[in-house]
Amino acid sequence: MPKLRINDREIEVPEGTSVLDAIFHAGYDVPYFCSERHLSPIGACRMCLVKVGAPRKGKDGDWIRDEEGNPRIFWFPKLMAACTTRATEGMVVDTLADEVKKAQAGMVEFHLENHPLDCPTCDKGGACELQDRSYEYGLFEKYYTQTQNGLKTVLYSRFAFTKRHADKHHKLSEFVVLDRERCIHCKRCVRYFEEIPGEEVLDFIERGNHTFIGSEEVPLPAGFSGNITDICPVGALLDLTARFRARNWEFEKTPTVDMNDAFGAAIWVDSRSGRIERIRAREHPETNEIWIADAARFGHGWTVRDRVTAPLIRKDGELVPASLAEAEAYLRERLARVRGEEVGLLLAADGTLEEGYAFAEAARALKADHFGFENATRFPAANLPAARFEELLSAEFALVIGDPAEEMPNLYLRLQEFLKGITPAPRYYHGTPIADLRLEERMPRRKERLAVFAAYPTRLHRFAGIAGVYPPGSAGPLVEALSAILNGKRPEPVPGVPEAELRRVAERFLAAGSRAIVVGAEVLEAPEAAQAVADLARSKGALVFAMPPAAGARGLEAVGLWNPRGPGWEEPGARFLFAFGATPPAEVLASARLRVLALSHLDPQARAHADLVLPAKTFYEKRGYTVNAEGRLLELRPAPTAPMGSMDGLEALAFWLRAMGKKPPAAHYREARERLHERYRLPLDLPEEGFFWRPKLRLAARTGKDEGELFLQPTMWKERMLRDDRVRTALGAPRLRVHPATAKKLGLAQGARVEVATRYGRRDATVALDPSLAEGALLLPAYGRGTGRRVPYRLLVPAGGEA
Amino acid sequence: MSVMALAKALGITLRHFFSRPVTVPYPDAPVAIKPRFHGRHVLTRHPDSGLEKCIGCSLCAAACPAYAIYVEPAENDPENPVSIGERYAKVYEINMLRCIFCGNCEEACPTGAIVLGNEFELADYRYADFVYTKEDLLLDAVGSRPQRREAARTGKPVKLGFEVPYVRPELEGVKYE
Repeated sequence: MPKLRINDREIEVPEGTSVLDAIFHAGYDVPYFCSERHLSPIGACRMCLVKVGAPRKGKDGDWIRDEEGNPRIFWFPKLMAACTTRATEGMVVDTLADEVKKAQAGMVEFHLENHPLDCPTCDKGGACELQDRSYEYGLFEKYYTQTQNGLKTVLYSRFAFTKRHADKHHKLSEFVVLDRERCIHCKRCVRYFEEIPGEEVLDFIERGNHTFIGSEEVPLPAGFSGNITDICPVGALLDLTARFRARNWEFEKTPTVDMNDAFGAAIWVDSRSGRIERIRAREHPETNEIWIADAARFGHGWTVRDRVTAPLIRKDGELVPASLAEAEAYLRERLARVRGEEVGLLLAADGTLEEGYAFAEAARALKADHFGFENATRFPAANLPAARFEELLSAEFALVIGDPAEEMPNLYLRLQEFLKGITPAPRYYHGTPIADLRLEERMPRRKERLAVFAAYPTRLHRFAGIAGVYPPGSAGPLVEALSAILNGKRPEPVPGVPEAELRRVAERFLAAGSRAIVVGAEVLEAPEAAQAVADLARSKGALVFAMPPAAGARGLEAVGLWNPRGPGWEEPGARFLFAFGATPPAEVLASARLRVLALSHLDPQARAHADLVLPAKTFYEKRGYTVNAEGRLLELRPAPTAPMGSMDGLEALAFWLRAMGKKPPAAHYREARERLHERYRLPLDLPEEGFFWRPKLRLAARTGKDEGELFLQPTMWKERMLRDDRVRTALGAPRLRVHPATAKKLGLAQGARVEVATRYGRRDATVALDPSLAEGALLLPAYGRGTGRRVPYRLLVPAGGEA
Repeated sequence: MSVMALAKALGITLRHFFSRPVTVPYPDAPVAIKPRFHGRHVLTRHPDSGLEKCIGCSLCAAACPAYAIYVEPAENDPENPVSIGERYAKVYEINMLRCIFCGNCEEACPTGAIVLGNEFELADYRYADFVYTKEDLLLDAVGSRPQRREAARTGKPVKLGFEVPYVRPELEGVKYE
């Protein structure tokens, strides 16, 4: 632990701390542009120049001392970039010296030399690091054009500077735009792509004054590209979904949690005039650090389009707007003599813990059999032990079965950290280290630490020492075979994966001191396999990371919204059906006598089947708790964008129960939270980092097996996001990926346009032959419905298409 | 009190009796106001291209101490731009009931788009009518909203109740006649 002096303060910092972090840790400020949390420090911008000195040791091994006997400080001959200088014992740092101020002001001027003065039209204006730093550290007048002796002189140059002109509107993808004039060459985006998602996409092209950011790959690979708009210190990389929607200070900023996957990434929802305009990543060091996936960031356009703003009642086959009183009367009349057992209560995958509690309690009170939540897997994720995401970094070997990049994108980024061997950074007074000297550019990925198996080649396959592709449906047998090998039994053969490969995995698994198993929806859909994972975790002490397709799965199961014996979300059951937040499949709706759906948006199924539609809030607008995949309780906070009269799950359920003449278990989130507090000892107020709630559960698993050929491939994008034109354009037509041999059998040709009908509805798709798949594979993006399942399908050939 | 004093006082009265009155028979006669009088705002245009000067940067709204201004920007269609550059104000509203005519918006404006004009006859009947939109504020609109409504009803041109010796140069293109 080196001790050093920053200006007048003595501090002690952990070994390997940069001077930059030491300065902030001491409570002083230093300007910087190129350093960013979780990225390697490179000293590109030269803004953090400070005066640094250190004592030296003489030949006798002792400090060289001055006359008074104190170690003599040898000042570095020039100012040092604080971000790339390591803090050492006895170091002295001066950030307030005149020469430091002059150097920093000079650097500000250099950065502004080519920077256009379009701050009024720039979306970064008001949240721009360059703006802030030039106010704080810049000069008020230009130095390089000052008048001396009445003559206008330009120092160091025979030429008058004109600003560099470059491409101002370079679209990198549907979501990100690059303004090359504004770029200050900090290299954050270049480093981000290589270091965080592990894709070398952007780079500097040309040199000196002509340097610009460019890419071979336009559009940028969708997945994690949006984070560069957050980390860009100027307005060079901007979010196109929020382009010119408002200035930064005008947004209503709501800190909440993303519910598109079970990771529980922290986000800022920026809204204005009742519209969600932008989503940004919020720092949460224990979960998402400062990153979020593109789907979470750019997939918000759906919230503002075609909202259900009033109750809709079906009259003569049409859904017509009605008042709440009419809706109540309608419901009262139809629920007058309904017995509790005839009722079905279903909740969306992004339901909060409070909603889950109310639904489960109501179902119990009604003795209803048909209750549950959307995208519930056969094996409850809550049965698996949960590990903290940070614990993954301390593992030595990880086995992944599934596709983390799509099922839980932030876990993919954590796996990248794991591959690089990064451990959680020390916490400073200012939080996460800004220039973490442990990080380097192009750190080698330790491939031998990772084994990946999935039904198709995932992003992670490239980084895995052992990687395999099995035909869809073999995830269960694969896990069981592996578990058999680990337990010293003879494994059953797994299609597509040779036994020797599995033995290698088992060998590395056992050789590693600590192991992690990451399982996706496919394994959770195979109850025996998931149970095997749970047993392995117990017997071999492996960390388990389950990626349930429903964001709130762990919490909803734990509060009792789990009924393995009754019909689930996808099976017909109740005659009087109430669903909140999502539309169950058509066959479920068709089999009921009364279908009441609380939805924020109408979809084709709801339009065709619903009898009464209540306006619902989206997860951005609800208040409540949720439990993420690591068993961490997190809080959702409402953005002020819900249309007047729209309900959250508790209000909508209370509306239904009152129409039945029953008392709702909780009419308001606060009441539900108090019940949760009484029953499960959950806190009423959460600390910022969350609260661990991992009850030991042994819920019965749902039995059954997938009967179908079409594998619904996990996607980070959800069905509802496709309402947005921008998202649709970016994703393109969904691809029906087929192994060539299977395609031949089915008579499908490359590029043919087909319509695929499943129980979740119809989808247009383009056939793509993919020899990297296992034979017999037929894959369609799930877009959040039936993720990881195999379902029966029918292929229809639309007019103009050929198959 | 002497007779002299009485006569002196009467003299003053008599002198003013025959001098020109200072009161203005408004609205029959126009009020003479100073060119720098702070009245209703004008959104000016570039004189040569006719494009709006406003780039929708919202700095006027940020500077407004009364929160009277609401701006919603949008991206220009390069083929058919509304303003110079890539951004323009799709919605520009000033609530004249809230406005205190301090002129901070004019000072904050980086393009000289929003300028306080001289019009002051803004009295109207309904709250909603005091929210002036772009069509009320742009250069082409002469007179306040009630005045233009009256002009449209009667078919006569807008009659402004004031006169200025000259229009200050910031109000580029504005003519008060």
